[in-house]
Amino acid sequence: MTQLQERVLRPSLLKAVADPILQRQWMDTAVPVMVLVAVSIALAATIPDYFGAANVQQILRGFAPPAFVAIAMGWVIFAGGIDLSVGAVFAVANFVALMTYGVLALPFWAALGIVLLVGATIGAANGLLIAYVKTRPFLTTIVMLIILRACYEKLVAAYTSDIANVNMEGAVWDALGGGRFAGIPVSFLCLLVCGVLAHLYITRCRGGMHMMAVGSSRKAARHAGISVPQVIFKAYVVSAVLASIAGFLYAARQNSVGSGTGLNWEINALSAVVLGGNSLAGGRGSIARTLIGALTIFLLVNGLVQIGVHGSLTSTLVGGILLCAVGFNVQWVKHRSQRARQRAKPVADLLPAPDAG
Amino acid sequence: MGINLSKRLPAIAAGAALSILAGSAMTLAANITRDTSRQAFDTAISGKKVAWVPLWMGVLESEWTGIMKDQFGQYGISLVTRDPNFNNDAQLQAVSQLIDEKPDVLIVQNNSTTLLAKELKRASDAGIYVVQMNMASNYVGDAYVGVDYTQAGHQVADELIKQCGGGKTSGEVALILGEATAAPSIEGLKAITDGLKKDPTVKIVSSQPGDWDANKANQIATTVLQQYPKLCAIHGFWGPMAAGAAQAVKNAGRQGDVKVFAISDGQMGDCDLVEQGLFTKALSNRADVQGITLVNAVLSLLQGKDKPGDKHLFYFTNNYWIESAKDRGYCYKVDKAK
Repeated sequence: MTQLQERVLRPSLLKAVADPILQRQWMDTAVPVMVLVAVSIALAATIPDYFGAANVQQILRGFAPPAFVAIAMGWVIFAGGIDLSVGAVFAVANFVALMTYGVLALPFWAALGIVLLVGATIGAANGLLIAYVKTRPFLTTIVMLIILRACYEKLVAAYTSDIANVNMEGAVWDALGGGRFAGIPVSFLCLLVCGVLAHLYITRCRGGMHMMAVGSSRKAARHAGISVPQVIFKAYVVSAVLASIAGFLYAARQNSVGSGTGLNWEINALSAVVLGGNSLAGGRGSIARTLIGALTIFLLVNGLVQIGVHGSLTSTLVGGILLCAVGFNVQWVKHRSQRARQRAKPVADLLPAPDAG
Repeated sequence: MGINLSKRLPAIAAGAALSILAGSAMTLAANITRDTSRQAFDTAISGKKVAWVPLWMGVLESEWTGIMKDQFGQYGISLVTRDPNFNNDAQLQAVSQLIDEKPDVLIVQNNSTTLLAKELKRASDAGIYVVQMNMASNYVGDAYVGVDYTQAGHQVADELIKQCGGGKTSGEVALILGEATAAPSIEGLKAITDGLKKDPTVKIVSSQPGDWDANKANQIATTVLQQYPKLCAIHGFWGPMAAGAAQAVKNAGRQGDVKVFAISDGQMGDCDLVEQGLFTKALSNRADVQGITLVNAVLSLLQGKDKPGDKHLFYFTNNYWIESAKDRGYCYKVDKAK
């Protein structure tokens, strides 16, 4: 075989082997899982006992709040929107939890109810504007982010000493923050339960299917008789409620407010959604893949800090890896749609030509 | 004679007992030689592990870290550091994971009085000495090393009264705190407020958190200068952050007119700003001295017989006003070799 022949044949051989595999539906999940496994192997090889029982417990305990925020972001993206206010909702929920449970000493369930109500109200405001007033999701939620962040900073400045000096304790509160059940952190169990429920809702319930249909194609969903504004409205409310659950868990774990609380969490959440291989255009994705993406980012940051890498380098490395992931995601989606079009071509050829008359 | 003897018997017995005690003490003292005590020191500290979690690895934290590396290295103490880069979540995770690694001493710099409180208690319960560096938590550990913010606050208040009080100016002062929930902000604000009660003509017109960030301090100062055209002074709770406020004063063309004060860790940049007239005065707490004090606190804990949580020691460091080039000695040079 000549060199020229080798050069020509090798790519086509590769294509012949790789294409059928890459076209499989499960590859959507396999790629993020492979990235997660690669990150995990690298950390396990670098840090002694990284996946030891004690460290895994710490990882799972810290993972629940960012994972909830990632699901919150994924939820509206599935519906074809975007919610950049999830980090700010999370911060406000954290503050409200500490104020109601800690400073005002309300019962646990009352505090939780108030936090979820605050979250739902913010989500409803986003939903009303985007679904019914037809404002742009990107601009609407970024404005909401600015407003909430400003409110948060004012409130924190006003009530700092109250929160800083209160001793928050209680059986359920402590269990949520640092407790374990069968060796698994309670906050992670909450995440598992909510994650499974969210997955079942998306895949098995009419409401979830409607949401994915709206995310896929609003026009088609409308033609199918789905109330698009209602679906979008609900998606924003649920998203904000999920972000406020994250805020409550965070409050129980950390008992503190700070200027950095929730700052840029929307970016990490967005990255988790992308890294999980979910489509930013909506209609395609899953809770499991979002969680895989979130866990990859969480482990990266956690691992780099534990290795003792300089903080600024950690941010740069994570940013670089995310950039690669976003680039890969775009190329992946592009490749799949090209192949899909190629496969569809012969069928299209069989169809009668459009009637010119 | 017999009566006298019986009367004196208890005294004689007591004297004899004392002599025996003194004798045995001398025997003990004789047994402790410089060699044996040195061996005891080596046994107590050699192979020990110290874990250190600052807010981030800035100039100040690098100074402390450099001194610790240098000193601990000589004694065979290993130092493990984690840099959370001002990320509270990362700091909490780092501390949680370090506790599971069971170091002998855990040193933390708390950006919030509440954030690490539960974990520090867990560390203490797990038999780890907890040392808090310059920024305290609500959980009182085995040792606190650093600034007495109450004392520093009163020193600042006295200076503000001297410069702005007595009715000779508007008496308006603005404070730019660090992170709102950090102990220096809470304790410092309280001390300044209390200290200013000595002169009712001086009033705090603005008190906002600058989050240790020069850009934020710059924005706050710019707004405050517009809101209060007769402002007498701005005080920043940390030098590098207050530099942003000083720049805002300069940009507004009010350098010299509005006094700028700062609590400084003694970075050379703060001395430069004083000499350039951007800072009116800076109160240095000398990070280089703090670093040595921190090392000594750790050595004391490791050599002592107290269990973690038994004692709560304070190692306050002194503050010195930097007013001109002659005070350059209160600033430290960054040793690149560390």
